[in-house]
Amino acid sequence: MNKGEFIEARELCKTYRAGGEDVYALRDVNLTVGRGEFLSIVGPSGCGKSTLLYLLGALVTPTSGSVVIDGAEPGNLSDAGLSRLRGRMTGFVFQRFNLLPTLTTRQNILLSQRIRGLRRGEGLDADEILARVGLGGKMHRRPSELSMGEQQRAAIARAVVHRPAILLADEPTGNLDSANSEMILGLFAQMHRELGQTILMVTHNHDVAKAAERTVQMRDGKIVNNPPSAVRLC
Amino acid sequence: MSGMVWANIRHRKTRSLVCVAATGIGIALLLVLTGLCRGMISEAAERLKKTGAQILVQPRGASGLLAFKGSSLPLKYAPELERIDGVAAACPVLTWTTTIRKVIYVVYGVDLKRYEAVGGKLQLVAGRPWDNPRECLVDTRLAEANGYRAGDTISILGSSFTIAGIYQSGVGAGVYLPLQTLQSSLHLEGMCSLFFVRTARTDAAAVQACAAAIDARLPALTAQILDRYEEIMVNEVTGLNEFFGVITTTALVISFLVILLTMYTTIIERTREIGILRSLGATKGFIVGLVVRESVLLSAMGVAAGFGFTLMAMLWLSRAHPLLTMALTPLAGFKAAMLGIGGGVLGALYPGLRAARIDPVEALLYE
Ligand SMILES: Nc1ncnc2c1ncn2[C@@H]1O[C@H](COP(=O)(O)OP(=O)(O)O)[C@@H](O)[C@H]1O
Ligand SMILES: [Mg+2]
Repeated sequence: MNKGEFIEARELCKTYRAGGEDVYALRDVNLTVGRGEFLSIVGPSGCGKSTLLYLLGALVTPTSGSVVIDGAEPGNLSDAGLSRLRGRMTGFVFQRFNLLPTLTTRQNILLSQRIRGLRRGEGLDADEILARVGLGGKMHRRPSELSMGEQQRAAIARAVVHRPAILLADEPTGNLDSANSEMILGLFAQMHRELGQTILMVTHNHDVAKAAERTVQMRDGKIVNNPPSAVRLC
Repeated sequence: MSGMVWANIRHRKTRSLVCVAATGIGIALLLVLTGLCRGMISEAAERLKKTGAQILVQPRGASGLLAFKGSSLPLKYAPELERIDGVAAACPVLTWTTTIRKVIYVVYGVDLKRYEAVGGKLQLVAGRPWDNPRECLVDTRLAEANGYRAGDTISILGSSFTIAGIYQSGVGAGVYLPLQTLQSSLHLEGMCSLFFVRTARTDAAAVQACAAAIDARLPALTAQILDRYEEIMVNEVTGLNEFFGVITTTALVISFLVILLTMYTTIIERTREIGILRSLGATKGFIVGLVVRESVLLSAMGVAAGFGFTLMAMLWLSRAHPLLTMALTPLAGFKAAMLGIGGGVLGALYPGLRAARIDPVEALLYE
């Protein structure tokens, strides 16, 4: 497998306006992720993990610096190009699951396929992926009728149904007990193994981070270690 | 995706119901008011046409409905009219109105023989033509509404008349009296309000030519072709077109505002969901499309509700006020539907653009 530069962040800065002044959420971040790598980003709350993840997943554009994803620079893309990049290349999993409450589990998966513009036979079959995350029997339930662990598994099914090259997860186990957390991490490991996906996972839990091949640590909007070695700083 | 639009509509039942009902009321308002107005006008025009005459002659300056109580025409115009080329017969009519049980009816004072020479016989369903000055004819609508039969006595303009016969409604007036009786009870001897004219040839060109000849020969009079009477009335009754314009605009504005408010609050409430869709790769166009589709569906349901309300109003009117006529054409329904949906689409634009501008991350990270 080619572990060359797949995602590259250069001098990445992101500021938000708060109380009339610019607040740095991210300051001069450099990071390279190889194709097929499983990377975790750890750090205390507010250190900029989510911001970095969303920049690497083309959900936000940087204030300065650049992100290159498989040769494309999201900052230079039109709305259509950016949407295509998100829809085709990435799949997001969030701490709060973010399933659409008015749709059933299965409809959530189908909507993901539709928005991503999948043609018949492209990507994974909705029913098959639901069976694979253990929701085959609950696909016609709405999110509110599922347990938290089940909702997160549905969210993962939604995020991988198009076999994205990159799976991004923001505190995917943050709302789950340890049994469910383990199940989710097991699913990630399986996807990584079987589909060869690049996985970027944000967590504040070092034990969870251990599921990854490499861990990047952040503090105050900066990366404080640039592995291979995992040094505990926060 | 339409599944998602439906799911949203069903998920927010009260919101959807209020929106649909409000749009429906606007549409029903439009259909009922314009329908009543048009119904009354086309009924009046139809009644005139059914007399069988081709041309209506009135004093110059008089037009439309307002002239119906006028009485400034001397009878001596009748022979002058009949001398004009193309005129076969002219029948003087003195028109008035009378109130029977709070309903206003038009009364024609005519000489039956001359009237029938112009248009043809009134179709009697009961009784016979009058044979003395204290008798009258009433139409089936008036008779049915009041339970009258031939031989009953009714009071018209303060005197009592015997109903000699009942004729099929829809022709001319609701009540016919002998011309001289009406003239003397109104102290209008020798006068009438209008002439019905039968032309020798009835093709459009001949009728047109005849009307032009009357206008030219008798400048004090004006001749109107009855086939075009409805159109003339709509255009000449002062403010009628403006009135239609105001109701139409009102219905459009209601539909626009209701959808605007509904969709605006909806997208604010759904900011997070829109962020999710964007994270899945939805374009701005997709988001605008969602808002517009939901609006179109809501306003289409509003239009359907409006048709329902209108039907209910028609049913109620036909019971409570059987004499009111409502004219509803498929075209009017189609226009109302386009108006309702058009207002909905316009109302969707601003919320749609707002929704498209929602930043996915701000929607997901911060609430
Ligand atoms: N939309 C925003 N508006 C204002 N401040 C923000 C916004 N997003 C993030 N921040 C700020 O940026 C910093 C980093 O946030 P975040 O990336 O969410 O951190 P983490 O995920 O590590 O908790 C925080 O101080 C946060 O308050
Ligand atoms: Mg975070």
